[in-house]
Amino acid sequence: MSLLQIHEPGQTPAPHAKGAAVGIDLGTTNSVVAVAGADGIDVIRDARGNGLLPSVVAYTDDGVLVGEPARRVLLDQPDRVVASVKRLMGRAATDLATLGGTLPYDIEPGKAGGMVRLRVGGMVLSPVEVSADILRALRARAEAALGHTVDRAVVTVPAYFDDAARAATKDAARLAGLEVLRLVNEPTAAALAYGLDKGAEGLFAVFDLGGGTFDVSLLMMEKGVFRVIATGGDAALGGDDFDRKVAELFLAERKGAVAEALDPSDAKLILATSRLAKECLTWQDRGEWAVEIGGRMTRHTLDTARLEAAIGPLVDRAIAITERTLIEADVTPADVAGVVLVGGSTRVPLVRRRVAQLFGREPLADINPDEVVAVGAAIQAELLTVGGGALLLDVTPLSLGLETMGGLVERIVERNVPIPLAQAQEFTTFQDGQTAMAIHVVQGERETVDACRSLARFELRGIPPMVAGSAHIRVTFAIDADGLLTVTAREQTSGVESEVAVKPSYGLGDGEIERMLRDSIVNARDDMARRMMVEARVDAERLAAAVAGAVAADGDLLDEDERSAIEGALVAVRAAIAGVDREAILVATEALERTTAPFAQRRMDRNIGRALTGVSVDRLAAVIDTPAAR
Amino acid sequence: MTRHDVDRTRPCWSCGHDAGVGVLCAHCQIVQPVAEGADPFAVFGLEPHFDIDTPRLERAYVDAQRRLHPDGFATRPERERRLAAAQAVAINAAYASIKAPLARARTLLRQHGRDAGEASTETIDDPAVLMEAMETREALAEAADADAVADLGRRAAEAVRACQDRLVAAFNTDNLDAAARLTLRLAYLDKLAHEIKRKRLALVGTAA
Repeated sequence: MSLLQIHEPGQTPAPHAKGAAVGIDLGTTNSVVAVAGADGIDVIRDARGNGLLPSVVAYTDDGVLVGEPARRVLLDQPDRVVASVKRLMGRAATDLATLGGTLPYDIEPGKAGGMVRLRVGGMVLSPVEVSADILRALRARAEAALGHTVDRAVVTVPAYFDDAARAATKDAARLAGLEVLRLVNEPTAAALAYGLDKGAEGLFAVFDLGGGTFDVSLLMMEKGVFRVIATGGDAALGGDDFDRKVAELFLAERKGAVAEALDPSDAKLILATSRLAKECLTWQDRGEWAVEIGGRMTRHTLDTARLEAAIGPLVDRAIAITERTLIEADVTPADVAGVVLVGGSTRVPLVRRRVAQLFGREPLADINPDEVVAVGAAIQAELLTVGGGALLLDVTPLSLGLETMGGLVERIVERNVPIPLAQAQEFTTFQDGQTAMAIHVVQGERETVDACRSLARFELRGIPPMVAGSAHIRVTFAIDADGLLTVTAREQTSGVESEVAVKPSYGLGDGEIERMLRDSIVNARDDMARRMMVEARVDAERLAAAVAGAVAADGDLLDEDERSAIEGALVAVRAAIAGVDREAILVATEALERTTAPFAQRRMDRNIGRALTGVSVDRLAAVIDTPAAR
Repeated sequence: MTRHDVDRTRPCWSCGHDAGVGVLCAHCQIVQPVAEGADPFAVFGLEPHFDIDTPRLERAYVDAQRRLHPDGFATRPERERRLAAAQAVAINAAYASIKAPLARARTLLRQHGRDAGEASTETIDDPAVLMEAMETREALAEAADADAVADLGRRAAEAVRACQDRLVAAFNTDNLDAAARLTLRLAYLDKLAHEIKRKRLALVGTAA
């Protein structure tokens, strides 16, 4: 059982003074970074107070953009933009869900097996590199807020992420210059936040429905000890799938004489519209949406009933997984002291209703479901670096085994077993004189190899020739506290030892990682400065265009002096945009914003006046409630 | 202290003093390598009995993880981190070998030099048990809805409990033959309970 001792000691020198450690929720739709401060956990926000960084990356001619600016590029140049990259982590192209046969990604063809590669903006990128760009942006956000280097992080992953996806996440952090102190399961992080911030005690269920993944975990929380009892989920079920259902409704309505061929950019745009439509139905009963493909614009009405009919089967799936997880843990819904909602998709009213129904109680969402995971990650980062009283005991999400004769799986590690762990099993040769043995590691709950996920293949060589059945090959699976697997195999009787650390077949090779690391170190400084400049420029361009449009539309609200002041400020912004000085751009943008503030106020008054004409009082309430107006 | 624990003092790898028998050096409190073949009961300060104090085991398990879980060593030097990880692995292994009644019975039988009946070639020869298992399997195959399966589950759980009570008596009276027989029976009952659970899982979402 002392397998973990065998490795070379002393590879890492004792830690010296280091930068701050943050908690990062690397989400499918949004990412969040948080840090432990003097009075609790702070979610690090942008200048507008927004803690969410959209997990969207744009590869423009001017450089890499992440977040809101990248999302804006999506409208003009969808082929330059990658969204929902988390769904690709550790995945092959054949694993992905399509929209009418089209993926909202441009996949590099001809690569059999292994993780997908994306074609974007004339480059070929792995999902790991795209994720690293998101992590770099989070790191920069944290460094700007804290005023010092950030080089260590606790990064969260869905509890149901398999080994390949976990390894890919860790690689992405390395590329972004972050040492991963621990990979923590998202529902576990959320529970940590509730347990420590809200003093929750007892058996809790965490229902975590994000943009791309669904997890449900049962935890016993007692006196600062967080023990995961059981976990279940679906690594390909989330709000993105809801969007896909809505998009399918819209596309079906568009079907005219000819079937439309979608390209990845069309798919990205219609999915973005569908997402908006879904989100609006959280606070409205119905809405109308426009879809334009190939120059043909169509309008579509979506109401709550249709939305719920479309996504109902997906919600059923999440509820059924939750019921199974309870059964596996020998727990009934009545035993559960509280249900915690995590992830943006738990805002969907149907999801909340179904969860409340299953557990017979209203679920808790008093910590922002979009931020709670990052808060928990920051708590864990503090526990790991500074210390504290809490203890997190997590489990394996999926069973692990080996392929045996006939394509069957011999299970070695069961799911829901506490980690870290090491489990060994003996195998033998089936032919006389056999000197090598192929070892195929799989992950999943099914009995046959083809129904499980293939993690790695390797060969144990140098077995001395023996009669069939007399070799004793001991295969050990070790899972560390990050949930990452190492498999070793050795022949016992002959004393021949051969150890092979598994590299997941869906991960990246070491050489590949090293090249990316080299590239990123060389380019990091330039990239960062350039990205910040480009972001400033994009924002300035948008503002200038908006102001010019507003002056054209409502110029009658301005007197001569005001008009010339605004035009002067506009000229200054355009001059700054032409250059590469970020400071100059920011100064000019701020001046323009200041100059146009009274004008903006007058326009808003006028527009509200227009909007109110002929609107009833309850409609008015709906308009005011809509948080879409930022 | 149990017989597995004696004569195990050794020098600490870090300070060189006598480390004692604990997981931490008695002198400098640095984590030590895992002692092979330790008695899993002793790891949690328990006597090797079938009838253990479960809440006490749980407390001892959590206490041990508090001291040795890798999270507590994140900022320690590499070697300490590895040793602590190995200790945490050993704690989980010891816990797994005595937590569930079937595992605990097998561990005790092994400690008494008995075959614990884990080999797949081992079959049960008690006709009553075989008949019972067959009947339950038939009932399970015929059970159409969740309620019927849940009912079978309750009955199976009762049978498991009854078997465990008899195991307590057998181990308490050092009747190892009876204990071995009952352990085999418990393995059968466990397997049935597992099959019933699988059927329950399969039925989720199928009914309205």
